[in-house]
This record gives sequence, C-alpha cells and structure tokens, in this order.
Amino acid sequence: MIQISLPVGTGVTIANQLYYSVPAGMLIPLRVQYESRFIRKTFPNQIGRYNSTWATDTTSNTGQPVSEWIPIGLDLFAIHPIDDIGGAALNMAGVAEPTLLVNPSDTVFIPVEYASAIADLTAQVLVLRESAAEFQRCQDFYTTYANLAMKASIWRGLVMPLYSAEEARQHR
Amino acid sequence: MSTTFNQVYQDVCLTLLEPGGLVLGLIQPTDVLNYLGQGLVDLLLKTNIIRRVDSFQANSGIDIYSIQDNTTVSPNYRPVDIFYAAFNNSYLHQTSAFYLDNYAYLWAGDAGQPIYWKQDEIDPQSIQISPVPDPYSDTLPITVIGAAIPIQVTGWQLTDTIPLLPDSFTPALKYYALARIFGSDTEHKDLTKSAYCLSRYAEFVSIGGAIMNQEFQESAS
Repeated sequence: MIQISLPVGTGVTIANQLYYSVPAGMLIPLRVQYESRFIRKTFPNQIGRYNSTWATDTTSNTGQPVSEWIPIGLDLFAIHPIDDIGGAALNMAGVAEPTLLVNPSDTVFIPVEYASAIADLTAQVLVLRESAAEFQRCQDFYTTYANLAMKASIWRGLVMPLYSAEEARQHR
Repeated sequence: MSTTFNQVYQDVCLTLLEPGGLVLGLIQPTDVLNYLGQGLVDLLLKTNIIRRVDSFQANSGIDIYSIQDNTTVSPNYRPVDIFYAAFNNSYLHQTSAFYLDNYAYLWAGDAGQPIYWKQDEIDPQSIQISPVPDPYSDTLPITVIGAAIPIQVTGWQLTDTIPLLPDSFTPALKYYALARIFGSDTEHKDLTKSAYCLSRYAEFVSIGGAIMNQEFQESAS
C-alpha cells in the first residue's frame, strides 16, 4: 500500500475550524502533522470521556497547541484543540488511492513477489465473461489469488511496529 | 468520489458481453442502476466508512429527537448508526433503557443538564437524551456523529456521480450488481458466477470493515 503525505485543504489550519476534509487522493488517513510534528490520534468518544467540552477547546483558551486529531470516517477528521489563529501547517499522511492502470507500461506499486496475484485475479475477472463451464474450470485462479492475498495480509500484520497498533489496543 | 454510475454500468455491460449498453435481454439498464443504488447503500451501511457530523436544536422539556436527512449539503445523506452525541458541545454518555430503568429508575422524570443519550426503545432514526433539558434553559444544540448513506436508493441516472463512496470502493458495486443479475431468473442465470461475485463484493465489505476496525473503531460505552 503506497503511503503519501498531502496538505489538508490549502495546507494550513483555518481559524476556529474544528472539522477538516481528508485530502482527495487519500484512501486511508493514518497520521496528521501539525507544523513540524505528528499529533496523537484519539476518537470522538475517547476524547469526550476525559474532556466533555473538547469541541469548544481552542489553542487560546487551553494554552496548548493543536495536539490531537480525531478521525471521523474516511473523509473527515477533527483537530483538538481548535486553532483559533489559523495559518499553521497541516498535513496528512496515509494510504493513497491506487492509481488506475490504463497502459501496458503502467507500473503496479506492489512487492514483486505478489505480482502473480494480479495476473491470477485478472484471469479470473476475464473468464467471468465466458460460459459457466469455462468459468468453473478457472476457479483455481481466484483460489490462488485469495491464498496469496491472505498470506500478504498475514505478513503485513507481522510488521512491527504497526503504526497506531499500540494506540488502537489501548483505546479498545 | 468522481466515478459515475455509467462507468460502473459499462463495466457490468462488458462482463455481460453487451458493451455499450444492455439491449438484448430481460435485464434493463434501470435494473442495473437499481442494483448499483442498493449495493451503494448496503456497502455504506455495512462498513460505516463515511461518517458525518450533524447538529440540531434541542428544546426545553423535550427528550426525544428524530434524526433528519441532511439535504442542505451535496451530496445529500441520511445519518444512521449514531455513535456519538453531545449536548451544547458537552459530551453525552451512551446508555440504554435497561440501564436507566434498573439503575436510575426515576430517570424519565428527571430534568436538568442532559448526561446520557440512547437509541433503544424509541422510534428508529431517533435519539433520546436524559435528563430532559431543563424547562428554563435556552434552546441549545445537539451534535451527533453517525454513518452516512444516500437518501436515494433507486432512481439514479447514468450521468449521476456515485455519492459518498470513495472511488476505490466502486468496483464493489459492479460485483453486487452482477451477483444480483447472475442470481436472477433470466438468461444470465448462473449461480456459480453469482456466488463468485457475491464473494468479491464481500471482500470489499471486509476491507472496509477492517479499515474501520483498525483505524477508526471505538466503543461508545
């Protein structure tokens, strides 16, 4: 999965704005960078339980810089406290939307050992147009793809430290 | 979110060996559009990948509020599966009728600053806050966060952009529609292909669920 960093909106915070849209081209938001540092991720109910009026906190009335971000689905997030001055750099890092492959020379950004999965899946998709008998004969393509995808998922899960895994464990 | 229904429809047509549009069989373009619309709602409901923040006014003495469709923004949406609520920007704890009945049995008559919210034992698409807002208080806002689904399920046009759903998830709609078509009593009937397409659709549901579980999910208790 390709990781990218994109500016949020115009790349800077807007005075007194609580909610921001995730930048276009970002599929899974993973981290938020305020000025030069990445800020802590928390969740709406998590932050609400320890600070019930979090949505009204500002950098002025708390005396602290923006220090947390709160994901709300794949395309929206909040920051805490609200930057009531604005103009501070705000960027988001995460998983990029995959590029649509159009030309034979286009590049797939996946490890080479998983490249055969693309061929297997493509073959399976293509035979969906064939007769029922032909389609059934080609079921192995999908089985092979699914096995490789599952192995990739298992190996990816063993990569440590998995970003935010510790936070996710703490917050559940 | 720039994929149109037509792009997915054309992909479905290509798979059914009618590139350019369906004209030969029992399945009509409107059927495919309806399947795509149903798949869109189904996927968003099952994954909750798109969430929205909504606010409405709470009135003194009233504790039950229906969650209205939001038609003031584009795309319009219906908030469902509320998982967070605040009263006058102050966090409310989610609770249940069972908890209130057994551990705060006078709750229904309490008035004051709301502390809890719940959704059970009231009409669907509603929330109830407790204690009921003080009769002498001003009108104050309730903020809720929930999943968003399109208000419209059927009746989409080919030129419409698929609302709310990230582009990477739009192939799921193709497989949902194909599963329905291959499972229908038409010349395309093929239950093996239908099962395969349903499996591919389920992959997207699983991926969406996994993303939300890893990165976003939390307990409201």
